[in-house]
Amino acid sequence: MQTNSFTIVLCGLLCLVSCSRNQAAPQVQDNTVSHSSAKIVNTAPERVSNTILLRMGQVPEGETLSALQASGVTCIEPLFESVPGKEELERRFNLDKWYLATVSDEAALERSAELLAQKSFVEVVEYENFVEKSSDCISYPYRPAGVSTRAAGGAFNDPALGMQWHYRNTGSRAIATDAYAGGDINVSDVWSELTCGDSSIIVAVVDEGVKYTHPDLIDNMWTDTDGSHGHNFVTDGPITWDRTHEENGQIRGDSGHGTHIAGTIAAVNNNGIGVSGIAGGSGDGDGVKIMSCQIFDDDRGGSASIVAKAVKYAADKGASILSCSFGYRGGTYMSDKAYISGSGGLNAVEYDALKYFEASRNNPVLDGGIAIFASGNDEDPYATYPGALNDMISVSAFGPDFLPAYYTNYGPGCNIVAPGGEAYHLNSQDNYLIYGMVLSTLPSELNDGEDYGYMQGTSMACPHVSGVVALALSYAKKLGKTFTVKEFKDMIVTSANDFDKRLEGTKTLYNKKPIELYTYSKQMGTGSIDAWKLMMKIEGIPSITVQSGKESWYDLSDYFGTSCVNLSYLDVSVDDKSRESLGLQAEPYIKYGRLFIHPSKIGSGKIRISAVGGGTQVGGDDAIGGMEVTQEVSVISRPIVNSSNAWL
Amino acid sequence: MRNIVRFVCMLLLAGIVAVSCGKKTQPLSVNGEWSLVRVESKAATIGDQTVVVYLSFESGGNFELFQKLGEGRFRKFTGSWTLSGDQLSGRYSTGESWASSYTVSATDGELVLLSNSGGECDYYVKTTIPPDVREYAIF
Repeated sequence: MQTNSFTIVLCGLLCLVSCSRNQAAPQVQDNTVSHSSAKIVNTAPERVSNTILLRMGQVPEGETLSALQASGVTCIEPLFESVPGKEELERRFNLDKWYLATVSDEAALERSAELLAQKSFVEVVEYENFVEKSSDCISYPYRPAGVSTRAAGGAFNDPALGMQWHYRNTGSRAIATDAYAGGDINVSDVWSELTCGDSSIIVAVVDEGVKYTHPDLIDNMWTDTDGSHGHNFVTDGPITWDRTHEENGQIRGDSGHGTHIAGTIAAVNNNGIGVSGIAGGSGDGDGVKIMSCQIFDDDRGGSASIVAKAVKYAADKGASILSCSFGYRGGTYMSDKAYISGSGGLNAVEYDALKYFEASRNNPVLDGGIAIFASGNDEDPYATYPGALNDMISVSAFGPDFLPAYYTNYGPGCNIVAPGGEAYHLNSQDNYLIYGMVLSTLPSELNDGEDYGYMQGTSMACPHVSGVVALALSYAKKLGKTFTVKEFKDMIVTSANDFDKRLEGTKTLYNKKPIELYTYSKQMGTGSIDAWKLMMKIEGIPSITVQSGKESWYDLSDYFGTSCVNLSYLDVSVDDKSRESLGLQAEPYIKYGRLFIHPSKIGSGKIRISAVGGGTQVGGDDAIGGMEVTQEVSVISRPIVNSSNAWL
Repeated sequence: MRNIVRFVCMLLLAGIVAVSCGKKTQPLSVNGEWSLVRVESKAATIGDQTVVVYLSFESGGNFELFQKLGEGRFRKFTGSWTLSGDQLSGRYSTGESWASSYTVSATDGELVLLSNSGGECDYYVKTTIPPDVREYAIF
């Protein structure tokens, strides 16, 4: 009933909306049919929807948007709210052109789309597609009694930190009998020596609503001028996190997914309760801030328009990082072109919004923002979109055994691996099977009254990278360093440890069929994210020294991670000044992850090396693929060198 | 050019040795803390890359080397050294020998190390290694 009233009001406003945007004056109806179907960039969703997205060009003089009523449209409104001062950026990414049209008859959605596509001023007609959460959304409560002292603790006094193997994996058999020491994100020394966060860095959790009243999150929640901690884009109202309904005897809806992700990124550290967060601060109010951009609410939400609005909101409200543990169902798109362009060669709405986010500068370190995505949980040999795009970071998952999680997507489009957790690992104490999952914050309303619990998925791997990136921005800010978004992405993807060396034989989980590990060989991006390595990259990698007058090689692990031997290299280039300074007689080249170079004189120079970050080819028009990553190697040529790069 | 620089370096060394010979001989010593100021005839840069090197030779025969080549933080290396006449040689604590032994001259607070296998001539001055270099160096 409320909806109907709303619709009627909007209908009344239809002309008003168009007039207010100075795009029309009444007149002719355009019935141009040519090329109209090409404007429809995707197919109608299986899910019932009564909205269509339109990208519109200049409305001809004498035309009015109210003429769209003939196409079954009952109301139309700009999709995005324009922000004063950002109009130029909005125009650059076409955000001023996107409209959301509501049609009267859901059953006639396709007919309406065709009629709309006939309008000359309609450039794109896009059906609402729906993204899904990258987790099974099953959680298990954390009950500290009897387990909290089983694993080694760490830098903070948070009592459950010892169970967060994903931050510091000691190989404890209390977690899993096959836990692998060092199979983590290597963050402990970063906390103790470099940084624990910075409260000016904001991470947007684009997901279910975050329980901002959670005792282990509240101090690290971003707060808007109106006192809110984000926005619910499903209802256009306040954030919610505990809406469920019963369906066929089962409880469905909110799962705590967003709250769990928020805790991994920035649960408050050193507050004597619960868990730690990767960039949750030292306990002195220096944790990064979480902004809740709610795109799922109970069983609703997740449409392209909702995602796009959430992304723009994050950009406009100051977020530097998007943590996106969602994606389109595997196989929906199988190339960047299919995702970006649809069948009509025209852009998808959330892609425009993502590019707008990447161009929105909200911190002193970067010239824009960075989005991190989950690769998907369908065991598919490719990542899901949007994360699969060749310039987005898509994260696959490993378990406490530092092996691919049984559910993770792998292969083209997967750029890096992080702990996603994994159930079904036996442990030495009571064969309880959940300690190998990721432990974080949860809404007690959905978690048997407990504030903490376990979940698994690439959804949980994604915020590990988001958290590490938040730490990295905090540290770069502390050092006064600046980077482009592209440079920073390249540093993230190449701050990795070799993940291939153990991919032999099979992996066995309790009550699961054995997993053939060779399937994942060279399919897990550049390797596992390493927080310390990323911080060292921010500090700067020292020049390598090579001997003048002879050919020598240098291992590229510092630049491309310890998986450098497995990467596909695209290009090695040297500028003229460096070529002259080093006296290069032949082109440097890469073999077995090593740079071979033959300087003929004492000097120095820079060598740019490009590789594929995940897979053997860069994604593009024809197929899903990796990201092109570039690193600049500084070389000093001396008459004397030794293997440890020491001066004497 | 490189040969000229080498030649000049050798001449300088020869001159220094000659001057030293003319004076009352002082035992050659490298003890103390030193900072690299020049490589061959240039400032402590090679091309565009700034090179910062601190050396600390302890009288007991141990040394510390702190170096920053281009970007990043200081790296620390330790080991042992031996001075025999004017020949300085050493070994890192990893067991690896220095890349070269050096012909040493020390005068007016300046230490000159001429590499015996490559001819690189490095000039150091007496210094006190800054505490933050010691504190934050990666070993």
